[in-house]
Amino acid sequence: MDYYVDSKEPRSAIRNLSFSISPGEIVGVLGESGSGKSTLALALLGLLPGNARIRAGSVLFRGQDLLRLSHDDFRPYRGAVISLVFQEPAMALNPVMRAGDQISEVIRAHRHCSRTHRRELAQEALRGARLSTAPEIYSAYPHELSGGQQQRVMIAQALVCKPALLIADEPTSALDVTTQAEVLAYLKDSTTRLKAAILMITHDPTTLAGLADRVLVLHEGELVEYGSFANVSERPAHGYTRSVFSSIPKPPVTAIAHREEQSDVLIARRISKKYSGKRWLGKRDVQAVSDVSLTLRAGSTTGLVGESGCGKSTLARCLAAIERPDAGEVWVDGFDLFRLPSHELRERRRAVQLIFQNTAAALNPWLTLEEIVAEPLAISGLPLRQRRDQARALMEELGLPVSRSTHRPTELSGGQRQRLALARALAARPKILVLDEALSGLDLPVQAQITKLLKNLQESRALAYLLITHDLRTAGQISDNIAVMQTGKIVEYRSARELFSEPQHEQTRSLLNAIRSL
Amino acid sequence: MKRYLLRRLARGLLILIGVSICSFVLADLARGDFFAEARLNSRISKETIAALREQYGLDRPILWRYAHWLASVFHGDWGFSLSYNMPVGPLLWARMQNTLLLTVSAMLLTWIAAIPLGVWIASTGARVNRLLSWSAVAMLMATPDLLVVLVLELIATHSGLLPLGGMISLEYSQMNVWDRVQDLARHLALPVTALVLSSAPAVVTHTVSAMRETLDSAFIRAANANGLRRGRLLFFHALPAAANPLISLFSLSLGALLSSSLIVESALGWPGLGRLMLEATLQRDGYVVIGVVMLSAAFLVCGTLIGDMLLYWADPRIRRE
Repeated sequence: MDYYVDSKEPRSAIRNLSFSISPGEIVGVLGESGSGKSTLALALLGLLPGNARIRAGSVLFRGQDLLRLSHDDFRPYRGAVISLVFQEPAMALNPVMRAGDQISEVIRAHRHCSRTHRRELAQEALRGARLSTAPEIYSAYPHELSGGQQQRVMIAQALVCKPALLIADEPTSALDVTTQAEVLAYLKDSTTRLKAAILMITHDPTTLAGLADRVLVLHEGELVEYGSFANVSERPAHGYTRSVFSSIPKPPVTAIAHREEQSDVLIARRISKKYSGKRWLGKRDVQAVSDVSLTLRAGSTTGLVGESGCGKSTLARCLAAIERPDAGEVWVDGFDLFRLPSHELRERRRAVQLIFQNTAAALNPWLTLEEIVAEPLAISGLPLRQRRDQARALMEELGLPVSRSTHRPTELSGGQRQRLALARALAARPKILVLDEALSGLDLPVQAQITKLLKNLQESRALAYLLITHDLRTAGQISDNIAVMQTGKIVEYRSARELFSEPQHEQTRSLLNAIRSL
Repeated sequence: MKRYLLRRLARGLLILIGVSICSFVLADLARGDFFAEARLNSRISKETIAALREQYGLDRPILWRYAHWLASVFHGDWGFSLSYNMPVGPLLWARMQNTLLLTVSAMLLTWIAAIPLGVWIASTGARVNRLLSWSAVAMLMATPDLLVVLVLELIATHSGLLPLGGMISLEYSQMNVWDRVQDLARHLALPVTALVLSSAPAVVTHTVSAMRETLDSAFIRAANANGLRRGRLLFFHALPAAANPLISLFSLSLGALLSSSLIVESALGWPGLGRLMLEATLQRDGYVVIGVVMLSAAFLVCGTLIGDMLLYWADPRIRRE
């Protein structure tokens, strides 16, 4: 297969790329966001958006040049011969259609068979995806499924017509580490069974380890490296490849001893929070957080690790006094936040600032960068000019381009947006930063930069961090202590080094296994 | 589910009671009554007018009249029309049937035509098609209903194919069933076309914007990547996902079934509720006005209820709450 794609304006997404893939082979495509790897996936299926043009090149599949096919002639290939698994299963499944019907629809598009037969095939595909309760999954709507189940449905959908090539575009980056490992194993398994080839697109080289036979490294639309995974990972030739492999988090890192004498800035005692979900038949209560106690020290980092849905974000919202727990106390600076009258609470809770994962959603797109950072300063009563100067100083300290302070956040990259969110949080002069998955979703080199920045800020301002993540690797990298959470409870809470060397609880061990198998 | 329905129905009943009280008070606050004009007539003595007012209870306090009206509602009379000299109930019933015949057939045609048109405009790749159809819809939207009616009348006059007004021909009573249906259909053609032309643009624009947004979403791209056929993709995958705003629009137009045809009815002499309302207001025939207001309110309540049920049925995410 010889290949060369080029989208015309305003820039070319992919230039002069050639590779081949044969049955049963797994080829990884590694690149940061914007490197053209998703464009590649769409181009292979003839699904480039209307503003993209292919200037030259060919995609040869069993001797047929797919790029010469019309949209309609291409249709029988899509989903049946070449299929695609998207990054975010929650977005890629139709919200108003039952999961099983969405699989059955693919069969309908490619084969002539009766409705009941289609139904059987779809059920079989779901069972094949190791979804133990296949009949229930069949009639469930996407929002009723977990992220891992959704992704299995997507993969079952992609495999139901037994394709020759499966393109997986970041198939696991929206999933928990533990689920990631399962989904990857299932993917590998089923393709060996079907003798299908996989083109695995990702920004995270760890997902390719032990899976990919060969790796293509894409950087700014060009193929910069090509070879077996072992070769590329051990002897990276290109600068970008080197920076990716060197920034893989390698826990545990040094626990710092000299901070022992630091004072406690936040003490949480026996926090509990219950959500009551109303259903048509009766109520279903969810105990999101139960009886959790936690202490944050100035200048130190506590990692809070658990799978999605374990209650870690709820706990974070309680600590930041955004949500009122049903029981428990949160002491900040010697005050119990939930016993304060509301005007004092408003003043005190500024000491705890939250940073979110989805920075695109957490920043007001209508404000300029400067206004965003200056907003928390409004309460200080300083004149506008001084507030602006302070905002600019903060932006400069965090490595943001001050020359663009009147631009909007949508023009920034993911890493820059996270820096901006940090600047805004610091403007409130907090003592505690709660980082809710603040590093996930970023490219690895960017992650490493932000981690370094966080460490510097902590040293210069004696900040306490609560780092919330599903990935023990990230937590182990900068945390002094780690708390492992499972179904609303903290099951293990020790220094990072001890936790890694001698995990006590089963959940900790399974989280550790998940990152080791990657 | 059953309890929810009962609760909604009870709330609807409360709304109707509130509307009836409001319209009674407002009608009472307005000066004059049905006999106001007779007072100007020197040949009718003051005593006669007073006797007439007493006979129809117009001199009684408002509470007595309200109670009296409520009682007549339970008998199906809905008060008494002075200008028609008959109970309001049967009068409204006949007129409502005429209006519904007009508006329901117009609504069906509107939705049957507008949805595929909207889907096509939203999905067509050719810029020329989009531009042409879009400007046609925009132009129709900007045209006043009255102008549409006038243009249609002009066409009908020149072609001589269709009757210009009314609902039935003079010979209607002597016709057999089949001829009656044909006669009715010929009379319906003009007002229905006018109504479709005036209401379809809104439905088309809503369909286009809802479909555009849905066609942009990741799950449609995924369905495309799975090789689904285009027609199936548009009507079975994208349209149901885009249905929410359309259902809201549908329930609104259900609620407006009695009032949407006012101008067309008046211009084309269709004996419906709209014209009745207009005449009754001018003549201060109070109970007829209140009756029409009550009917419209009842339609609005039912329209929103049906709309909510449809939303519940169409969107599994709503069903969860």
